[in-house]
Amino acid sequence: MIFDIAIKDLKVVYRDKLALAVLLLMPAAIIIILGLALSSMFSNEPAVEKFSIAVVDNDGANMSRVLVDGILKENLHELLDVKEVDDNEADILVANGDAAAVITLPEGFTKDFENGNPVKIKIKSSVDNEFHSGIVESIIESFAESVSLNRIGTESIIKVLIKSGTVDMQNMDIKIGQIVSSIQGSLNRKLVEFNEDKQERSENLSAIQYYSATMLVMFMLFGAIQGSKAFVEEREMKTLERIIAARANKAQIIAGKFLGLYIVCILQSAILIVFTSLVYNVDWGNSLPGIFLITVCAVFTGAAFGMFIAAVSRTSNAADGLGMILVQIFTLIGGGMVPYYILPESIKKLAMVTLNWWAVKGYHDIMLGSGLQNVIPYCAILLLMGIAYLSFGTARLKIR
Amino acid sequence: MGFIDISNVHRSFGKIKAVDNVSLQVEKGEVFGLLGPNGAGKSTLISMIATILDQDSGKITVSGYDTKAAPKQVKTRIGLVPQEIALYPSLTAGENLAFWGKMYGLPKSKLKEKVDMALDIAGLKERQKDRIETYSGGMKRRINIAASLLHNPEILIMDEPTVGIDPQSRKHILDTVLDLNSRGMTIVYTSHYMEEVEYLCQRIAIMDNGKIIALGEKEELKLMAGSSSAVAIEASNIDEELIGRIKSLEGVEDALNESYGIKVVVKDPDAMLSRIIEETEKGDSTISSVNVEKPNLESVFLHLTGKALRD
Ligand SMILES: Nc1ncnc2c1ncn2[C@@H]1O[C@H](COP(=O)(O)OP(=O)(O)O)[C@@H](O)[C@H]1O
Ligand SMILES: [Mg+2]
Repeated sequence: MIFDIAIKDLKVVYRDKLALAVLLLMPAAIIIILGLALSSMFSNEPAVEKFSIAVVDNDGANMSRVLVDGILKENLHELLDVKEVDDNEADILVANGDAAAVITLPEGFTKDFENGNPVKIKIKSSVDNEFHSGIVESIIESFAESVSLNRIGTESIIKVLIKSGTVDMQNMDIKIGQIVSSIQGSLNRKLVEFNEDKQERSENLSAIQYYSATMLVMFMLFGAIQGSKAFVEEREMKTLERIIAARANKAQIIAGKFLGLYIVCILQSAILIVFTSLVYNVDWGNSLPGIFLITVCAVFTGAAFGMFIAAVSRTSNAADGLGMILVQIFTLIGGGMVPYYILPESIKKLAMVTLNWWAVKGYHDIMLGSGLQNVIPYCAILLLMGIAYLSFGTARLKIR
Repeated sequence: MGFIDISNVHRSFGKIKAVDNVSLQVEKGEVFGLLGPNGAGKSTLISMIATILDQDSGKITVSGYDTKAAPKQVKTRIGLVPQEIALYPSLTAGENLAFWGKMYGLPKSKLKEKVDMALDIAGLKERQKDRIETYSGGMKRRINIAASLLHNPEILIMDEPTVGIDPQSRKHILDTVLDLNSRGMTIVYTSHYMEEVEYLCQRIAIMDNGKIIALGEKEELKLMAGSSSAVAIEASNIDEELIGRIKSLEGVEDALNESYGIKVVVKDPDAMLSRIIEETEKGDSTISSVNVEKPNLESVFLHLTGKALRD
């Protein structure tokens, strides 16, 4: 009985050319339009804009100048704007956010280094600039590695220990080249890591990847709203009442309608993912189970949201209107139109109540190479939301 | 105790008493008529019989089963034809009927046979592969009825099954009702068309404002209206002043301003006719036709409520 209702709904949707256009053609068109039009806002290179750091050189001898002048100022000048200051000025720069981090080279740095004593390079960074300070940290780390001294390890974000060894100062010029390329390499790795660490992630997504996920979720929700509209329409047409008059009870009707909606939206998502990946060459990542899980959960929540809208709407037009407005608000604050990394923090916080936020996060993570485990927390949140929508909906839904 | 037994049933929607202390019995094998204007409470009453709505108080049993206590047993015995065309427009007639068959729990093996039978009754077998949305109003109504026959109900409850329909489909439906009845099916026929009820039903309940205002054999009811007849005068330039003058004529029970002219209710139309015509033509009214309607359910309703069945 439940299946018969669901299958009937599938047939009805399949017969409805307008519904199919909204479910499949529109998203396919909008994804390619946004993907092409906004591609300049996205860059495929793990590039970072130039930022400022402060350096306090309390040593001022050979080795410290190699690091400051040769490496930081000269070779990394496209990335770093180096300000040499004293301790106090450095603190102010960091506190004001004018510098992402302070690198402090201690007195006797060069000497200790040459004598094989442990040396300390202090990195102080502002907490809210984790990304840039992470880059600085990684530069210093790879400097320490490149001068081939047994690195003891990073003690904390604040400091890096370098155990010194002997350095052939005559060959320092050649060495600088090696050191720099090693730093570049580790820098790139660092950026990829950061991307995977969810920081500034969209820097590494192409526009079409970004919008494939956000539009997939938005149009899946439009599909769910069509479902809620259809539910209320059936109430108006009295077909639900007729089903009750035949045999079924309310729970079976709701289960059947929910199942039908769920299948429609799953098919829609699957078709769009396959289509965008084959026709638009969108890279959906390497984790098929991950994509599967996030889709299954997002659609569950979406269909539950549809039942919720049906439950709070008296007329099918009200369901349509309310649903479409909510979905568009969700999409807007969830970064579906304007990329979320340029949205203000407050909106990002608000966006966490939307299912779009978690579903899109899941898709984007997987596109960036995450696996199944990484999206499990998002899926858990989605499922909880879905259960909430569904229980409210089921309690409030009326058949007649 | 009747096959359908309704006793002291009440149902309100907020302040509206949709069904107000209704008691009646429907006997096995009859065509029972439920006649009343829009809003009388007919649909509310039959929704309760069909177990899709609970009464506030009172008791309804169908073949001995209480609608509240044993809805399943009641449902399998009843085919409800809803007032609305409760079908899926984008599905074909065949698909719709198959769906409703499944909803009634028909086994797969029987489904095709039952759908074919229902299509036969609707007389639309050759159009079974067409979508409902391509059907005329009358054809939709016929499928709407067919969908309630799939599970061989003992009782068919029809809620205004001929609204918005062409004469041919209307005839088809009325013939179907008589045919089903002759094969033993009990029928409750709800309508605000008194001609249909008069044509089909032996026993009739007239409902108004949630109450049964008359209940009995067709001929009994007509007697209730006395021997009053209605004289329908098609005329131009009717005004309230003229209506008033006709009303005040001796022997005239009532006069009503109708869209076509005047309706005059009289005991003895033969004696009164010339006086009424004379009075009408006194003003600047011109009579184009005069028609005498012998007592019918319409005049019963008029007699009981002082208003016309249809506005
Ligand atoms: N679900 C409902 N909610 C509120 N009022 C209702 C509802 N159903 C019927 N009514 C009211 O009850 C009265 C009887 O309606 P109904 O049974 O549909 O009459 P009928 O079928 O004779 O035209 C009407 O006044 C109608 O407005
Ligand atoms: Mg009605």
